[in-house]
Amino acid sequence: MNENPFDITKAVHYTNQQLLDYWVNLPGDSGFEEMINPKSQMPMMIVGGKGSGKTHVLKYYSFSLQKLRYLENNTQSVSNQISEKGYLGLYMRAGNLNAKKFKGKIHTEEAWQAIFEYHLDLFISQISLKVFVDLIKGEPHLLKDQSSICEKIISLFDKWPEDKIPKTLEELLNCFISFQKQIDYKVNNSSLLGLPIEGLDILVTGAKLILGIPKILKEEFVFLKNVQFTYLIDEFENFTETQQKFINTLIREIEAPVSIKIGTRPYGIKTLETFSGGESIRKGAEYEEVDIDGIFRNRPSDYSNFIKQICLKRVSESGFLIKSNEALRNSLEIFDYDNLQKKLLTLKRIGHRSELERKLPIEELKEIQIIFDNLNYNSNFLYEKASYLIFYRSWKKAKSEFEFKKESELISKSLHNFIQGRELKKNKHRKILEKFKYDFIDQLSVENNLPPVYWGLDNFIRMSAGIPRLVLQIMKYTFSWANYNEERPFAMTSKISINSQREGLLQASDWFIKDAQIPGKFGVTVNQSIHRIGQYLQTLRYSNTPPECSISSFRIDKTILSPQNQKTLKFLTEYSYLIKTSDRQDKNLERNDNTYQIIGILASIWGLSLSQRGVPNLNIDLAKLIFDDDDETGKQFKLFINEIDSKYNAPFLKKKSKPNKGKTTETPSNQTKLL
Amino acid sequence: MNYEYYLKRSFSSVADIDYTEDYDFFLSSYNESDRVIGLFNGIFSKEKIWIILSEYNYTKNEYPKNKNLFIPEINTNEGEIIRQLFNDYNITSNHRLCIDITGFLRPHIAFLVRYLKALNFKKVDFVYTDPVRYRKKEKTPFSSILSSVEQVEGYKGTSVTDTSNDLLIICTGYDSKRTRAVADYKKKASKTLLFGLPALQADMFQENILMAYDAEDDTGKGNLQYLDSSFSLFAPANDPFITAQVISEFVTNKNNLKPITNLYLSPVSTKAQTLGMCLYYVNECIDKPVSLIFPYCETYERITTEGLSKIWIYTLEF
Amino acid sequence: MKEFEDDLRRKLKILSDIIWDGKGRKSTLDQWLDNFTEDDFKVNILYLLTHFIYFNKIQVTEMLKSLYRDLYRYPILSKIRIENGNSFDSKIIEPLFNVELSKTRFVGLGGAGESATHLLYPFGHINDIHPDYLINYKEIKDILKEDKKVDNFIFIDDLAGSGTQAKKYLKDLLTELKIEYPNISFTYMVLICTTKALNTLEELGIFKEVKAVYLLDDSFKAFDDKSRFYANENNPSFIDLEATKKYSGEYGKPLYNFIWEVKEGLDTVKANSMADRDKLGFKRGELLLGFHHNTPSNTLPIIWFNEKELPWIPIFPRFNKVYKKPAV
Repeated sequence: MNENPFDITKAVHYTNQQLLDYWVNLPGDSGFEEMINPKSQMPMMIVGGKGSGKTHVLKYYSFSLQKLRYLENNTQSVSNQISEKGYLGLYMRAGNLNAKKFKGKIHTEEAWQAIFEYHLDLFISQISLKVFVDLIKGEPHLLKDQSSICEKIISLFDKWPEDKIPKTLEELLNCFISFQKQIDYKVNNSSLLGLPIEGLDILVTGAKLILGIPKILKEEFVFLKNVQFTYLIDEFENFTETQQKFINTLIREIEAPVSIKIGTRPYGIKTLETFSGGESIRKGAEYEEVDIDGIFRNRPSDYSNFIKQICLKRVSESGFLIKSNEALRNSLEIFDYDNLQKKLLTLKRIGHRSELERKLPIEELKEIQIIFDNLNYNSNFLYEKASYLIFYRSWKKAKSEFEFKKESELISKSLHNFIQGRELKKNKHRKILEKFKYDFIDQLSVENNLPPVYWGLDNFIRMSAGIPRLVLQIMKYTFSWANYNEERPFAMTSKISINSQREGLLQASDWFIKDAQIPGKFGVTVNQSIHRIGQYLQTLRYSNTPPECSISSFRIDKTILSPQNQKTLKFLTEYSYLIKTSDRQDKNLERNDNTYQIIGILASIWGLSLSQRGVPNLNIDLAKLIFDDDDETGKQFKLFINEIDSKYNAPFLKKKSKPNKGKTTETPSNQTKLL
Repeated sequence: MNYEYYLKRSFSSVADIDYTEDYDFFLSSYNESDRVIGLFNGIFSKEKIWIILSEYNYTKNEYPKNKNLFIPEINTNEGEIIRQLFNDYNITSNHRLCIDITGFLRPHIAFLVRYLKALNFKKVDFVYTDPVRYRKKEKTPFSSILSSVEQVEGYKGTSVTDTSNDLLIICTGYDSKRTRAVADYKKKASKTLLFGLPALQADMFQENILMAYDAEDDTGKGNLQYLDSSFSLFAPANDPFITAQVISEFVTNKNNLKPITNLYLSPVSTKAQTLGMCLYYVNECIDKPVSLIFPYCETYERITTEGLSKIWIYTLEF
Repeated sequence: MKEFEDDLRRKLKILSDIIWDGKGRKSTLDQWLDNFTEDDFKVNILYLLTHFIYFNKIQVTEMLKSLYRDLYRYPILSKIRIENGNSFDSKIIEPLFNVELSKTRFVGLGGAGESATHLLYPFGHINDIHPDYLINYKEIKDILKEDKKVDNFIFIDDLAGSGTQAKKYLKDLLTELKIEYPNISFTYMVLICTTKALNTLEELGIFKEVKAVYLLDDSFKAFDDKSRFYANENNPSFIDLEATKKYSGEYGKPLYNFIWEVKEGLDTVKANSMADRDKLGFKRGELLLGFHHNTPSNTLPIIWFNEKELPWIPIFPRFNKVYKKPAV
């Protein structure tokens, strides 16, 4: 069995060397360096969803990776190169602090906050001390006498235990570690026995170490003259609200030579307030925000190249001989309409024909035959589907008795004109095919139990909506299936089959939903809502008369939603279930309207389009049916789907179905589970 | 430390239990499954106390009748509950305790072990009953909605800034959601999974792996983590002592190769293994950069298993 | 049904990838399924296969560890502790344990080429047991004559499905030895034992104890009323124990008939009745398990039958036993 090049999908599972080996810069005019700007003094919030790659980016600018890079270039010392680059990255992850333990009924919130701040000050400062202990080990000439630097740092403390006089940075570091351990010990013991913390001396207050140590170091080391200390704090979401307030206060008060870049998930920022009178930090003035997901989404071609390079690196590292984007694309089987056309011709029964046969309220066989002769067109099923759509639309519109045969004759005429290129301007087939071609392809696949068309690397990239890990995930499962199916994935002569891609994608979408792990009951509500949205859009898209083409999105006026439902919608976007797509001024939208598209990796579950054209509206009633999470709404939603089903499918019954009657709770006929 | 020397005994029914000492207190968390109730009713002890944990959502009229009930206040954590219990009944290290962990939730078991150690207990019997099978094979639901991953009271340890060699050991069981949750919570740490092998029954290891596979992406080494014994650990699903032994040896070896920076332990498999992980912690990890983390859930399934195949008595000596 | 079948196939992929050592991949699986002609029934056959319990090398290693550590060593340790004032001191405990160990021999069961014999050396290696302590059952008599200290023989085996094998090799020998050496104890330790085999072996009255890492009750029989493989209340209605049993028997019978008639040389009538008995596994085994080193005959023959003369593709092939000595 071959090693799966995509087995590791998370930066956190890499060693530093792997992080460096797998590093790919964002192509195009502005790469990560310009985006993150590690030597700029302006604090920054780097916002990115799960799997956006922000950890990889932040770590890339940390000292451990700086050092690795600089060591590879052995013409200059590490310190020289730091000096040249102008920054020193001090990386830490909020999760590592286990900050949740600074709470409990025994003390007031203020008391806990004081302990936390002291702990954090000691903790973060250890990072810079460690970097310098490490640097001096490699380049001892940098600093001969360390005792004066120690003295200066000690003077930052309000109090210092007299029995400890460190002479070297390493000894100083050990003092910091032991102070911190003492806090941990006292806090733990108190929570074990349920007793208040006693005898804990807070030796320093107000982040003096975080801000003061870099200044002192800068005075002592020549190579630091033009170097900025950049704290890279990842996983901001793991801090509590008060703890974030503390960091926000730091952002406000920070000054040269220190800067701070924070990595966070979109939902990670709990507050922007500070301790300075509760004021909030201001975007633009006090910090800038980089939205990684947004950048990737707004630069589709750079993003696509970026992903392909990442994949190529993986594939070639695993020993495969694939070297170009083209070869990579070609190693996955892609959709080919001719194959679908051929496949359909071999079927005994074709889905949409059988359906119409069932639905036509006509007894006379001869007439039925004529209708089918008019509508069916074996040479091209897409054209035929267009005929069916026109037919169903007219049927739907018909006020009184619908003349099936007559309509089919008109349609046949339109088709002939279309084929022969006559009167194209007004031709119904032309207009419909322009808009609905891809919907027809998907319908043809689904109705005939053939795999839908979501395959190929380019589609996978579109499905990822700017979240690189999603592509890696799909590729990982796809490769695994191809291996199991013995397709020799990435061997030069073979292609990964549609079937393996389908299974891979299915596994990846399942993974995506489980991976979100929204805690608490709310997670259930969020999942339920996305399923309802998916089901609703699926019902429309696979009906006889879809109201729009390429359905995958909806629009909604957020202000009509209850606060609880607004929260659900917010979560759906923050966890990237939905991608907000209407940031640009869209003339078709009302003032408060926003459009949202189901992320491609999930769209495949309901067979929705990967592009966004037709955008149905969610009005207040429908929105409530989708977002409310009580049992009654669940029942109402099922009824509603049945109603929609009758409205958009022949024989277009106008009557509203009544609750508790007969088959109302059954899944509508078109509701096939896809993939 | 040789955990193999700890004493364990097994019996096929409560009537067969061979008592080496008289118990002053028998503690059990109320759960309507036969194996828990049968043991409570059958065991000899001067006092027997049912602890009613709110996570099982029992209503007043479902409470066991005519028994000593300890009903904790709502919104109290494992530490507060156990401390209150020991206070109310004035339980001290002079008493002989027997604790049935079958119905307890893992954080409470963990806190008990840590608290008994802090109170200078020398020897306590823990009972665990093996089921015949899980109700829906590998699809058995255990916990409902995850609320959050937290450090367990009494196991918060310290932490070091260097995270370059952080390690998370998960005793992984059927409840893969929880394995995912802890693995995701300590994303940066490299992960080692400890599986119950031998499992409680011959088919359960394979079922366990099927479930663990659900968390494969979070635990991080692709398929290799199951096929290669250098990535996985194995200890009998019903043996806390071998579990402790296996963890202890593994950590020692790892530390010899390259010191572990922060160590995290997470017990989400059988309660016997939970006991083992905690025993290892209280013997070797107190005040070190080691913590026990657990994915807390709002509620838990009351009955997940069928039948009783064995009663185990594990004697923990501190 | 399609969806259910797809789910079964997904499960089988995971099993193949991570537990079954890559066995049963797509092409093998499809070839095996092609043995069965009724398309509608394949989903039941797939369902059955998803419950096949495979013991790969890692599992067998861990079970061999457990056999020694939990079944042999632990009872001695606990006895020593209790007899020595509950001591926790390894300086006291280990020497006493070593005395016990030196009086013990671990015995491989069966002739050369049989799996239990193959197991003995890995068993010794994994548990760090001196090779002198590992013997073949034919050596017992000599050892008893040579080394008067030895008083404990532990028979090591991988599977006791019906107890027939152990009985065949040991009944006469041990009965005879018991008379000559009444103080010697014989213990049978096996990785996997069915309750039926356990009873058979205990009833022989030659073993002090019969111990197993895994004891399989009747719920491990594929088609028993209490079968654990069909206990899932959420199964769809087309998953049918009785029909699968019938079907597996119909396919299994000619396979076992071939073994009895052609390989073992029984006459047609006798072979037919034996095949009737064994069509769901040797002596009505109905097991659904296999080891990485072989698949036992107690497992359904449709899983393992592997004789080139018949056009049957096994999914977990049983290595062919040489049934007859070649004519000289």
